[in-house]
Amino acid sequence: MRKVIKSLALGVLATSISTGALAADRYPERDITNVVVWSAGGGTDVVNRMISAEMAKFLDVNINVTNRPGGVAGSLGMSYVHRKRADGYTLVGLSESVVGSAVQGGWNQKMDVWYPFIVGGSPDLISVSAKSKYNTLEELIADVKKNPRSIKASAGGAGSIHHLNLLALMNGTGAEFNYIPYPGSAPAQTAVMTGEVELVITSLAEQQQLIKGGNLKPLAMLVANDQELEGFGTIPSAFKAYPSLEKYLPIMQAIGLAVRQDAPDNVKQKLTTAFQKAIATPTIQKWAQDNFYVLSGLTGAAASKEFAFLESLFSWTLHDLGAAKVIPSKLGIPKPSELN
Amino acid sequence: MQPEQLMALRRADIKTAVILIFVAALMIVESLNFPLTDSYAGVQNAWYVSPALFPILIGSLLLLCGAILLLKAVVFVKSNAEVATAKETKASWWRFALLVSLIAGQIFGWVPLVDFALAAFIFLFLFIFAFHSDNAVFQGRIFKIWTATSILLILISLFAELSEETRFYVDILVLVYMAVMVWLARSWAQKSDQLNVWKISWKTALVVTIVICPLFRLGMLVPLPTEGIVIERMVDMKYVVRDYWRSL
Amino acid sequence: MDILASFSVFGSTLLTLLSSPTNLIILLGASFAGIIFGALPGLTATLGVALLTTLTYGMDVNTALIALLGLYVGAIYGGSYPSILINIPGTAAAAATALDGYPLACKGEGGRALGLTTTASLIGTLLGILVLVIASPTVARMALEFTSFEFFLLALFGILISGTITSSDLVVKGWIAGLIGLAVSTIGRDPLQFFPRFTFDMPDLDQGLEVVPVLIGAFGIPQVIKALRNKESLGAMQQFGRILPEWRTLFKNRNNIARSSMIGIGIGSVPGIGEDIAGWVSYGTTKNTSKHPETFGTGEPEGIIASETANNASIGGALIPLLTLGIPGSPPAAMLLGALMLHGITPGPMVVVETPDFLIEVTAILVLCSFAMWINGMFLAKQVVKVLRIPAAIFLPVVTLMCILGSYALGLNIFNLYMMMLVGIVAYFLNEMKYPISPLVIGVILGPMADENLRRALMVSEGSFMPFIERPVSIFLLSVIILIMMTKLPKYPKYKAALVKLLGLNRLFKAKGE
Repeated sequence: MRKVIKSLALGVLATSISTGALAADRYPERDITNVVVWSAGGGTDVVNRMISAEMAKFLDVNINVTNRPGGVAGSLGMSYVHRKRADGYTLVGLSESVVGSAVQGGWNQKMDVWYPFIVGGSPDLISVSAKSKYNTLEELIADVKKNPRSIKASAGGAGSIHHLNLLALMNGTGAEFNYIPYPGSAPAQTAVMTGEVELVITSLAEQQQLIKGGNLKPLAMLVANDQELEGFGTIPSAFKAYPSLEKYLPIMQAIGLAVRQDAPDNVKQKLTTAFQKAIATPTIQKWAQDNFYVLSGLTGAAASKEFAFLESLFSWTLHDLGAAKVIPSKLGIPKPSELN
Repeated sequence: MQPEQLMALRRADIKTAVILIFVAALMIVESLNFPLTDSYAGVQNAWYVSPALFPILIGSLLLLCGAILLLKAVVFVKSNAEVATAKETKASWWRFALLVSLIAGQIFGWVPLVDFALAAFIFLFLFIFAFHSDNAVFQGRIFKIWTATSILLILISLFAELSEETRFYVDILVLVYMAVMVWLARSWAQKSDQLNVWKISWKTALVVTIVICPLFRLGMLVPLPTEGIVIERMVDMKYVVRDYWRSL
Repeated sequence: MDILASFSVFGSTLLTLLSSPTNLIILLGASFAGIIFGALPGLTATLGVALLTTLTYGMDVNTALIALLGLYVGAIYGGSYPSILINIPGTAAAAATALDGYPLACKGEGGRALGLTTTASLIGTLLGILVLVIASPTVARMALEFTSFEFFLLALFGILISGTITSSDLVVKGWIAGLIGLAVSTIGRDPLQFFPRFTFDMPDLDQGLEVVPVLIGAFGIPQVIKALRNKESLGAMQQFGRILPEWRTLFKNRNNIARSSMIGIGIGSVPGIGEDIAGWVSYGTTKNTSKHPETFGTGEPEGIIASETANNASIGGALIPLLTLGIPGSPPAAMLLGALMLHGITPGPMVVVETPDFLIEVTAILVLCSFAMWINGMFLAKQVVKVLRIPAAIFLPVVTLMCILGSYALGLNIFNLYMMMLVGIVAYFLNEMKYPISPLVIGVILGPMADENLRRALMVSEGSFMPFIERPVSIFLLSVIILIMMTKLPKYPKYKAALVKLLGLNRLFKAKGE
């Protein structure tokens, strides 16, 4: 018994003094917390719980997923993690939608404070109700061009990735829809089924069940490639009918997690290795395939570049819509055209 | 209800009604600054889409209800002018002040700054001791000491950016403070022959703290508001036990 | 699939699940944990399911579902404990239970109240499951009749019905409390245009106030202050009464139970709102249709039965749109959706086609969960009542600490504590001045729904109010609302008599004993 107590006491002492450079070598020796900035049960939450559980196997510690939603586009969760030590024990689970936080006054940091790992996202598509008279995107666009703003469209909340996709579609085709905002993808899709709006733009992951179940009729993918959907057939890409869309699209989701950029290099290295191994596991691969997620697997500089692009796009779009509190250039965010 | 109490209620109603009318008016004025007809965030606007619609509606109804309440209360007070107004006793107000000070002090002063286990123990100990002893003298003393320390903590977190190291020393100071308080309480209790109250207070506080902290931090994996010397040691302990387990 | 085949799947699922000791332990454990979660102020079913989701990652689907659903059912029920014993609802779902549960406990019948709650919850859950199995396609189709117009009317209905849970003082005070709640609910970004309203540039206020801190602030803090300031003791401690299922009382309340569970299922199945509101609406309806509404609020068992049956019935209701359309009907159901997706099941219309037995399996698991809840409940209720033996001066400080921790845990946000304190002080004074607090909380919960849907409805109709009287569900809701308003008119009995006479329905009403 005395031996046990002695070793316990020694252990406590050892762990207490093991801060600094030494600790980084032994990383990770404690459980890691992944703070998701969106509420539990949503897409970002599910993806983070999956990838955390898989990464945990390679890091040999638990990764506890907690949620800290709220603030402006996830700003509360981000500033919470950013206030924590840069020791790699607190990660932030985020998605592309957080990039607009700074220009909307949520916090005063750019996305370059993070060292991101992008799991991926699901491509957006445009769909109408199964009962709708429209069968192709061309019919719909031709109709709305005759009577601008006569057709109601939903695409999740104002300023969300789906809203940006809708704006890009309108810019690329010259059609003008009447945008009706909903607080999320599920209510937006329901609104099409109830007939409140005519069309919806959300991701394939969110729509696939409703398409297969015959509730929604997909018109076109808002990415360059056609999409095969078992039980339905081929969903054509909108780019074929409207090549000008290439200038504005695709705008893809980027769900993933991040650690503070100023974390020690070998912590980042260890996380990267675990992340890449986790992405390659059959569990994640199969899950992504079943749920129509396109895996990205980008880390570090490449992932930062992706986020910088999204940040620029979201910030300036919000600015153009008059919904930005801070001028993006004040934060040092370049226009999308200025990025290389 | 006694007529005196009803009178006191109606007099209070006049005050609340005036506050309500004022707040409702402010709400309406503020709402008028919201985008009323111009587009915002890519949503085309009209009067019925404006974010001001609902607040103005609620504000106006609140204004109306406040006015009705004011009218009813004034009429009542005028027509029953001869009835006296009931008053709460002074002792009751002291207890109220102590309760608010305890809870508010804990929330604004202790929880954001001090290790949660320490904050929880001292809060529970003083809270239980003050009310279980039911001794107005103790309550008065605890009110003064607790209010002063809580305000001090609030000032520290407002004006000083504490580093990890200083937080450590704050926790040490709190430990000393705790020991002093428990000891002080004991000497008070001894004088008024309430030693059993003192005993049950510190025992309950300790047991609840020891149960709750690991339950939330380790059992439900909820990070606690402030993790200082006690909680961090507790978490370290978990890994030592784990490593020891693995080495077997 | 025909009914016989369904039954055999149901039976075999039950048998397989019951034959595994691990499953049984998980079932009882999760249900127990759920009850504790619900009973601790501030910890909700949503948080519980979120925490369990990670833990169940490695399990197979059925075992994971046992744990998750067991916790969900337990948590909705467990919220009634503190409601009855100390007048502080553990979850928003159980807030209406406190109105009659606490007075009963004060009379020394706390044990009886807990017994009734337990069995009413069981019956509510089972009825919810029954509707889930036999009528889910119909209910799902009905849920699709709800557009912004109906959502607005439903929110209005909820607000009005809670307005009938009025003050003992002036009627206008109930309205003021409700309006304060609605006013508070406008804080934050508006849900349509994302414009920040009354946020004073504080990022913490951007998403508006969370329901849990408001709930704890509105009920918990005032109760602690009131009891300790006035040196009140909690519920009567001299006798606890025996805790029995009280089948007879429940049988007498069969109409009440049928109505309450229908309300619960209906509200649960409408996407976006769930058990939080179901208890209130059912309580209000039962009070309004009762022959003796004046006994409500003084320890009326009918009130407890109404709210507890409804909030548990809404579990089955909330699962209907989740499993058939992939739309969660309530916040914990939204979390459940995430958990199912982790296990590779995307709920939606294809579930019936791709895994035809899934719905039946869920039903079997739910049945097990509700019985586990009942067994745990009957056992726990006896123990839990004993906390009333602890003097208030020792018990309430501990409750206060739990309130603080509970308000913090869901959002990990100290700002929520500040809000809880602020709401607590205001609610205490409102309480002292005889304002009812319940309408305030309901206002906070339903305010955003009313605001968002009214404006969106007008946006869709381009400013026209006509759809309100053109859509069938809308007309129905509107007439119910007008009926409620009419019963509040002073001369209502006279009008009613005249109308009854006019339509020649005297005999019908006489026969009913009017």
